[in-house]
Amino acid sequence: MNDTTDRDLTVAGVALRFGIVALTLGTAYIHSTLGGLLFTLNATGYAVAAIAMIVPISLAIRFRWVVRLGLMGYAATAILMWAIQGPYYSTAYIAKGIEVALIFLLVVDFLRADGNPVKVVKREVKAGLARVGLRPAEGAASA
Amino acid sequence: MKRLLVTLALATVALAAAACSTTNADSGASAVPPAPADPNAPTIVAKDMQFVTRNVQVPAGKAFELTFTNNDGAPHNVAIYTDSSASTNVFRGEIFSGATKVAEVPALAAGTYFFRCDVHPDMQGTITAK
Repeated sequence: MNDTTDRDLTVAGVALRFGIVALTLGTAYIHSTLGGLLFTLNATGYAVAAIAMIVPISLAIRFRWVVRLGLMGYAATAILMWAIQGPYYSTAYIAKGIEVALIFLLVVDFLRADGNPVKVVKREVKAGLARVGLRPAEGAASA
Repeated sequence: MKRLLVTLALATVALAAAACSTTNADSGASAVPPAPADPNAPTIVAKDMQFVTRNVQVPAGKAFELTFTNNDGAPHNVAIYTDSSASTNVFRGEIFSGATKVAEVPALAAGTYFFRCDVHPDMQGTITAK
């Protein structure tokens, strides 16, 4: 959303981003050790998200807020699915602990970089609609 | 605020590192596989993400030892249910990888039971108690 905050090179900003990537790769690794298609796909999804969190491509930087929200939703879905069907054992508890911590760090990162998520989504929807000509762009001069 | 975030980040990285080492510890195979007291004890083997042994016969009405050998790096267990809906569990074995473990299964009334791996529910088999 905001290029300057996305390139936040303060100690806190770098540590936060590092923590998010480390946790994402941590849970990706755990899922990759479980075998089976579902766990492998889950691990792949986390690995891709970890890359998307830091890749210095303008498109990724522009839509980093989507990556943050998407990763939050992805982790929350993984926790929910596990809560419903298990299995409940030590490695699973550790993986879910990591995912809870990941969501927490993503929320902090989102608030630091993007601000209020509701406002961000509203603004992006408006901008998107304006782009396809369904609404006038914000700040456009009225006739 | 900055200090708090740095501390949180370091703590989460430490957590991730601990998680990786714990996962490895879970998969540690014992040097000598435990032998069941009963030489005729039923054995279930998992390999290549499936149960090699899919039909097992056990004595009805008395507890028995079940030897489970998991030859995969992935974690598996043997969980016994009354039927394939897996809604009523009668025994749940430990989840582990790359090892052989013997578990004491409580007595089963005569009949047919369903077993599966709880981690990979598509790994299934049948236990007949008679």
